[in-house]
Amino acid sequence: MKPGNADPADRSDDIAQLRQHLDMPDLNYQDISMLVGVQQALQRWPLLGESCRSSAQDGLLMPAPKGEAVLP
Amino acid sequence: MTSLALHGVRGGLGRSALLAALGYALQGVGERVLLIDLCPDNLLGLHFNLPLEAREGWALAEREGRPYTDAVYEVLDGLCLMPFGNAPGDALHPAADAATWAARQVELAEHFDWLLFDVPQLPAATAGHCVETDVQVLVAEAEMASHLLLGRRPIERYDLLLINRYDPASRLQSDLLMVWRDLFRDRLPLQVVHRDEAFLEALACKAPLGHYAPQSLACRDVQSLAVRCLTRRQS
Repeated sequence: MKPGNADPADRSDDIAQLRQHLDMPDLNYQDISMLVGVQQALQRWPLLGESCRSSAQDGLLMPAPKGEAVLP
Repeated sequence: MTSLALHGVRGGLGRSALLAALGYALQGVGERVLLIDLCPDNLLGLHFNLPLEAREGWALAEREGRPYTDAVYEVLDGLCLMPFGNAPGDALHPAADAATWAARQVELAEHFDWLLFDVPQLPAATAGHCVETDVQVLVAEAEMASHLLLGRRPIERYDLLLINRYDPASRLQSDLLMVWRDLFRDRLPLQVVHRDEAFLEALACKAPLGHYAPQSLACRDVQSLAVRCLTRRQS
């Protein structure tokens, strides 16, 4: 892509341009800070983490803990 | 005419107070609103200064063989209320089913822009609702019981997840809100109504929130909800 030749309507969509440039049309925008925050929340509240693991929702899965079955 | 109901993931989420506040907010922007109480508890009218002993309602009228429309009160210009009703001695049970209310919605359509239904809490496993509406709002609180029960709901059935009594100072609540935003991203929009003592005080004063505390934070939240509802308004 040559600088200055892009359609003006596309210029504001940096993610779309990056996706095109990297030839990764399936790349979805991810809010990294939110993903980190979600992972921390799932670890902070054990029942929340357990429910989200078992719900098998996209983007919320986290590795199962290594077999402790004792109270926190 | 557009019909709307607030459904709870569980009981005790303040849905009647929310519905009363939403009706008042919609009337405030010039909409013609009818609030319909489908709960045998018959509490919705108390948000609009009906006497505690008032017995008239659509279910009572139905039982006595009168038209259900006998029980319509005009609270304000453009804001009407149809209580469930109460019978001395024994409890009334709703006889009207979803098909009946579908036909009644058609009858009422020319008189109102909005029909807002206060629906009883049904078990999550119950198939269908006691009334089908154009807009289905699911109400929850940012706490674990709501979270677990949300997982058992077919969320594709709903248009909005309304998080009531939200306290941003609570670590657990802010965490849950963040998780829900991620979990329901692109599937179910979220709207927050903050925890506000004004909601409780409004019922104690027999008034809807917007009348009792128009400057309150929760009132502004409900006004935002009303604006969102207007985007779903049907002609």
